[in-house]
Amino acid sequence: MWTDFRLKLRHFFRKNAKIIFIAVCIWSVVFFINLFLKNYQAPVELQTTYEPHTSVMDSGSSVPKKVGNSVEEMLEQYIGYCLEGNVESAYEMLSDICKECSFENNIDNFTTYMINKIGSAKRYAIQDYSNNGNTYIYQIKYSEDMLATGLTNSTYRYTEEKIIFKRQKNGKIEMSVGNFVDYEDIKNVSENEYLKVDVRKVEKYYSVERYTVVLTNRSDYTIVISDQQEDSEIFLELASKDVRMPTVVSNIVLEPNQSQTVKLEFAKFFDNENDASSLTFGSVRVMEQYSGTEVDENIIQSEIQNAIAKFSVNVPVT
Amino acid sequence: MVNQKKDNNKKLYIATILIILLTILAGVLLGKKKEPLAPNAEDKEAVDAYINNNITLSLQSMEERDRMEYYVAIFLGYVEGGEYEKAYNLLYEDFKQNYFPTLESFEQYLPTIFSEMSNIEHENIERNGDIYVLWLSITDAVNGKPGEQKKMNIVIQEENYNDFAISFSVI
Repeated sequence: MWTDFRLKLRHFFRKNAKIIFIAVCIWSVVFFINLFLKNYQAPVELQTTYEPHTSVMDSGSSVPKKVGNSVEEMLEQYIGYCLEGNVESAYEMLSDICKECSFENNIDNFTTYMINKIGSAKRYAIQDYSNNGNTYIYQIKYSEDMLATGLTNSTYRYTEEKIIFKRQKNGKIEMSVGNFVDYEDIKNVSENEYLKVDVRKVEKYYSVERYTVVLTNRSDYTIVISDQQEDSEIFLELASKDVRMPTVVSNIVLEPNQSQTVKLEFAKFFDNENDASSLTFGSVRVMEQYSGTEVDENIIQSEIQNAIAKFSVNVPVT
Repeated sequence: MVNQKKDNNKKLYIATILIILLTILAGVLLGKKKEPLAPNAEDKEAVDAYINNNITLSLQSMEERDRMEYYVAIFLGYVEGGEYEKAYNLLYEDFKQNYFPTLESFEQYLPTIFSEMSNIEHENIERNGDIYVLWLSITDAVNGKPGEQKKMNIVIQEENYNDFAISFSVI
């Protein structure tokens, strides 16, 4: 019986020698890999809450590594230029649309902005603030070199701006400073026999939208668009039906046949997905007589009551 | 032909057995996870490395705020214990150049702010990028009178666990 078993075993080994050899080799390799991993001590990485490329607004959203690296390189270069006073090179890094909208294509405007924002800062800290498609909004904090001074004779303070990085279809990344995010041509017109309202464009900044509107008085009367005598004279309506009033209130009064270009600014965060839907001039008055707002209240009310026409104009902005 | 096959099989057997033996041997020699042993007390370098390793391990389980407060405690501990050179070595290089270019100037300054035993109260902490700013209130624990507090900022940059540079508002 024992001999029979030996013979069978021998026969088995002879028949499967190659397979057994390969199986032992595989087992050995797996064993060594396992041994290596068991003894491998991964380098200790510092764990902090500082994650510069993870959005503050949505911790589940991060900037792709490749974009994050480009962002860091561009910022280092841009701020380096600013700190060494190489304004031309810093200005050239900005997107054309940012130069136009934020600085009216005037490098002097940029220089003034840059000095106010960065000044004598020695350090900067970056933080991904919000991501929207291919648009990455970073918050940059500029400060003195606090480590070098220990805040001796000074207080903890910093200036801050949003710098926006937009990845184009060709992979190129465009940079905009001064909170500027986007620009859209609108060119929507609404008109009647008295007034033509031409909403030309919108400049979107991180926390505001600025509309450029051309208002044309087509009558021989004075037209009052806004003078704070009526409610809801100008407002921006959002898709959710929420309304936003202008951040700056000013009088808009059109003389007969006058055309005037106005910029209207409304508070709206770029990453708020509730888009603007229309711009409304809610209390347009065609005045037979208009004496302004610096006169007696009774005169003001009497002139409003005697207005030739009073209407509302609504212009879509999408 | 049959002999050649037998030879080949023999070689395969030997190779297989060798691989098994080598693998078992490696497993016995390397498989035991080495626990760090407490070093000989006379070997100062080994003792320092052992302590440093243990500190790093405990720092890894701490939150950032606790780590920063620990670093402050280390710095002030050196100061109170008269180990000025150790405290000096923790200072950020540019800060040293700006305010204490020599160890002597640092030593002369310290008694004006820190007593032999100080009460430290952490009032606030802020992070700006990878820099931490702490607001402290310091009282002389022995001779201090109520209301005699000194306010101070401490700024820390942490490169890694237990590897940091520090500066403070010179008052």
